[in-house]
Amino acid sequence: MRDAASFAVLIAVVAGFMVWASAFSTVYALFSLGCAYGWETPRPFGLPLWHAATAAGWLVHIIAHAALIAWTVRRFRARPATEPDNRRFLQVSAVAIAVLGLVTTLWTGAPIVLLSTCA
Amino acid sequence: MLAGSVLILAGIMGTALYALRRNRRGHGVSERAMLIGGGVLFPFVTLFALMVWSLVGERLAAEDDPSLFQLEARGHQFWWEFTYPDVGGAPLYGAGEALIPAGEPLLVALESQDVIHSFWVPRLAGKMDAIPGRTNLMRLSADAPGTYAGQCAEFCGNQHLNMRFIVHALPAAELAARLEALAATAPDPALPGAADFAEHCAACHSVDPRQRGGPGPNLAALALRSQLGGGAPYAGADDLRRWLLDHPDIKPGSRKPPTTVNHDTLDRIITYLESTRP
Amino acid sequence: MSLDPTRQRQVQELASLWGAPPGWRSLSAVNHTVVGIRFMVTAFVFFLIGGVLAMLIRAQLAMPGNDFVGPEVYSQLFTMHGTVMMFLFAIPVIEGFAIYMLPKMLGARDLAFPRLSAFAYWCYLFGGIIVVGSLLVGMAPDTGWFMYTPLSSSAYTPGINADVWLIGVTFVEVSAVAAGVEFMATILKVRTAGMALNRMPILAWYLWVTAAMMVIGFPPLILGSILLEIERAFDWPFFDPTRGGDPLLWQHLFWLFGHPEVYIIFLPAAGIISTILPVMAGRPLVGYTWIVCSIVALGFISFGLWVHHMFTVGIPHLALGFFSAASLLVVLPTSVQFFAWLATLLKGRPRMDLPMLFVYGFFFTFVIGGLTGVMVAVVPFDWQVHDTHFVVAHFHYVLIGGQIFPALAAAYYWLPHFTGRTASRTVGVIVFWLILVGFTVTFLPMHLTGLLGMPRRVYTYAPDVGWTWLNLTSSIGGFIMAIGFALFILDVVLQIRTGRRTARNPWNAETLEWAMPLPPPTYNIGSLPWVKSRTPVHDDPQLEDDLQAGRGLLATPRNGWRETLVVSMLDGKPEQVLLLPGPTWVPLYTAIAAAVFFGGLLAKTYLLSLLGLAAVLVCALMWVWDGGLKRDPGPLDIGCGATAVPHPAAAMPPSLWGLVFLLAANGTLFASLVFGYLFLWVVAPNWPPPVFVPVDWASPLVTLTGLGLGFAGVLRAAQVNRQGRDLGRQAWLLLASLGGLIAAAGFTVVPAMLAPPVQDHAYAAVNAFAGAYMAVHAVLAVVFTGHAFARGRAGWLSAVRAVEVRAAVIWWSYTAGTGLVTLAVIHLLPRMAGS
Repeated sequence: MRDAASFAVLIAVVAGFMVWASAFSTVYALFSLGCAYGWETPRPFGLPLWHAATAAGWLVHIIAHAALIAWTVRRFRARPATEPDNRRFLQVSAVAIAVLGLVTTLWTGAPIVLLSTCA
Repeated sequence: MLAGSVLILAGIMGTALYALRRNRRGHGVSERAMLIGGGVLFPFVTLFALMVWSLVGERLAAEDDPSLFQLEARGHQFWWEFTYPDVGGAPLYGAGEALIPAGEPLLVALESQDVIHSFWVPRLAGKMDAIPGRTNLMRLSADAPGTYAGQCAEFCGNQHLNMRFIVHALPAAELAARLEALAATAPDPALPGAADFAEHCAACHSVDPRQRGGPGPNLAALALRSQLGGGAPYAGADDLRRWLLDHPDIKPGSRKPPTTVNHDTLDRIITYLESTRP
Repeated sequence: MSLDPTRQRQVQELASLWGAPPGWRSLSAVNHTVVGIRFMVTAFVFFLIGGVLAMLIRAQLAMPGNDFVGPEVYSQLFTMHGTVMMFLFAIPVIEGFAIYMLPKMLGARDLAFPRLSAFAYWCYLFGGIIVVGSLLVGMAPDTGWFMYTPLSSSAYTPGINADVWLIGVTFVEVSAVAAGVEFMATILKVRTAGMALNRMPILAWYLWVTAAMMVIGFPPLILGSILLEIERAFDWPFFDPTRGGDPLLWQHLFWLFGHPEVYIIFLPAAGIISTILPVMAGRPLVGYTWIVCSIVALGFISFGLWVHHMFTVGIPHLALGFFSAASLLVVLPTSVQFFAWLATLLKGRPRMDLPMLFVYGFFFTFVIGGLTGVMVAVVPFDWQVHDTHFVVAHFHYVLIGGQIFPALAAAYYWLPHFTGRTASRTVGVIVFWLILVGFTVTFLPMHLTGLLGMPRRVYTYAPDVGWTWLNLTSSIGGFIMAIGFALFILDVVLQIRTGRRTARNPWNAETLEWAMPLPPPTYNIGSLPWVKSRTPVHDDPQLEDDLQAGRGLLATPRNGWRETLVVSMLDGKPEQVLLLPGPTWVPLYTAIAAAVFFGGLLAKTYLLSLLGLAAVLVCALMWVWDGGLKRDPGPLDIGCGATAVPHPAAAMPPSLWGLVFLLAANGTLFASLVFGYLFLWVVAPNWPPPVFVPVDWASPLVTLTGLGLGFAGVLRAAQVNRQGRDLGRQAWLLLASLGGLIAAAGFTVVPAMLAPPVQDHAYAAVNAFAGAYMAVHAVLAVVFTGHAFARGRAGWLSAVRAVEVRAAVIWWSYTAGTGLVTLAVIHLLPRMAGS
């Protein structure tokens, strides 16, 4: 296999946490921007705009995580073409990390549900 | 938290030590059960509970609330300036000691004149930083009247140590009276020391409780305080003299220039500053 | 073991081929064994210096009102203790260990870039000398090891003290990033045959994640240090709140590095535990895959914790919540590892050998540190204990528990490997108890000292506050611990001199570093094994003899080349033969040139700095000119009926991966810069700035043209090169260089003309800095392209040998990408903000 493709497999193995990294940055950035610039209205679902935007950023990433889990389960079933024990290792790691990524995003985003002010 | 921690430590060390015994069970333990149960589920549940508890619990950062008693605390290298923004319609300036209401919350607005300091009264609340360029609001409350020691909690230079302060919590009525009195307290301008003070000290220090003054602390009610220079005890003229003569040794690295006036002048200045002592 | 005469000759040839020259010329050595040992010994010397500083601190605090040292000296003591231990010991000792151990564990003869590790060593040594030297002249940094602005700004620290820190530590960090790049490329590519990812020793996984964290984690601090040094030297107000800067920007950049740093220190130590513990338990590690996933999780999550060092700066409660949650969650992957270790112990038959004693010491201390870590992750608790001695106790439990105990375990475990001799158990046991008891007596009471309200970094305390006995106890404990370390040194010296010669593989270990004669010969292993499992040495007791007898890969030296294997990333199939450089002075010269550059900055003689910079460039060109092949090579026989191409003819030799990882580090620096830009814009006081960058479409268009021309030029050059058209390649490279010059000119316009006066507002300063950053990258793009052109002219390039062209493509991709972002930020952001 070409090196770049191999490296892509490695990236796919850790993708769960890359999505988390994106989620964490997005949520923190939206929250900070929203609170710094006082995004209060409109109020979708009765939430101040900054809160709704932060929650939306979080939800989008949760969906991305779910899609990633489904993708890794399928993608690593037969590929990459390496010895069976190694493929099994990569498969288990990829799926586990995809799930762990979701758990981490849910966990670190939990304050969005638990708290509701800019202060 | 302490009991839980000791239990966890005992569990881990106990298992590790038990593994050393020759005749023991445990060779048949399920790897998966240990990893899932001990490694994942147990910490997951405990930590989640801890997170929820800590998030919905106490909070220090506060939103502006004009109905509360207001105090401004401003960090300087190396002393605290305390300002009451509204006493009889105008600000009242002080330093080193603050008066707050007992039994009700108040808002402390934290600011800094120079570097980052941190405001901490251990028995009243956690700490919050005073950062140049911004104002941090902190909600504080003293349940009972009393005197509480405070100190700077962020390293701010060589005299970070001697940046202590005192907080007096008073019943509301007494507090109002004391603040009114402070607003009218100033050294006696008729004393000969007034001119000496004006010549040698006034560039940095104000003796008018309504005037902020230069870079040094406001000295209007100096004789009513119990500490000098953020740490040295102060009970009378002797302590003040010792401080003025020896402060480069008592508080090396402080920004206060050494005292250069002659003995008589110093006496007159001390008498002048001490004139507010009841 | 006796070898037949032919093989004996070959082994001798290998030994002289890989050996370093004798005497003072050995400074030109680049071999990983030599460099690794130098690194570790130097780090240990700095550890002793840091330890002496700690003893001075404890001496001062032993009594209330002590005037052993004054506040000025005390500030230097604690600042330097932290700085020396974190930057000059904790990280470099890991680098040294990995430099020494990685190739041996991976079944290789050296690292991917031996000269880079030699360079890293010299940078580390010179930077360390700058930092520690300042102590001798009494001008050491004195604003705390995290250097908070504005205390560290020129207004409040006018002397050279803070500059020493910023410049010296950055110099050392260059070395750390270099080592990180080296390890990433080495672990991915330079292993022995058959070592698929799942057969790597677990320590290689730990070190790979650690290396990646170093590559990602250090750049934010490097950027912060550069910005702060520019502010101090030229008054660009990045951190001055009166002019649109923000002291909190420094804290973000510092802790963005500072928290991952804790895990950079902990992960290799945990890797050592995961290596030693199964050997001592006589059973393979439980949960290999679990642990790999945990390490990856730790590596990522540790980047989401940095704000927990800033819980008291007045950050909104919800934002605190994110970081508090992450700080709690990070416990999970650690606890998975703990239970994997416990399960291994339970399933095995553990022996209490000397290294194991320290493993148990690690359990005891680190668990306490972890538990108090959970406590301080809880926000209200942290508000109370933050910046008190409780936190001091907590992080010493984490750092000493998490690194020193594993390091001592490693020392006793691998000393037979370094020396070929075994340790005396009696002395080692005494060392263990002295250090454990001394440590506990020092730091356990300190939790209470903190809870009783003693803040950090106070040079003394009053007798009436009730801290006297606790402090005295801590001081006594500190001296017991010091005696323990002194005895450790004695023990090591004794062992080197008088220890019993050991049989090979004294611990019945599993991994390849034991498949070689002890102490290891210059070439590591007589031939490279083709491994079939994770525990090759354990599986095959004859392995060492077979390899030494040449029954493996690359057994016979040829052409006077230093050869090792490059394998495919995932499954470890042999792909390339890596031809490594021999002893050379270039790394030392490059480091000396860099020292001239940094020294010039320190002395504020900027002309000297420019000269140093030019010298660095010249050295770098000499460096990359060396090596390569003049003719297209065929596949080389590597033994066992397999062949591989020499790396200059490979599509992706390790050096290009090195470049990719270097750019990952650079990209993090750039991302931190963009973060800083936006952070100032959104959060800093005194915004918006009085003037924005004027509307101007000419300069961005010119810059864009240059970037486009350059990027398209190198792409096209690579394409026609694949078709074997040498002349076409040269022409396109020339055109791409021209594009680079245009882009460089376009970017230079930003600081030179477009940005408002830089000393007036942070906005102007950060724009000017971004423009300058991109201009430097465009100039370097010209260097890369020009280098490829020159190599082509000299006949080093062909359709097959195209490394330099690819390197130019990679550099240009980075420059074009970041260039576009920079242009957008500089020119579009003010328009969007409606100015």
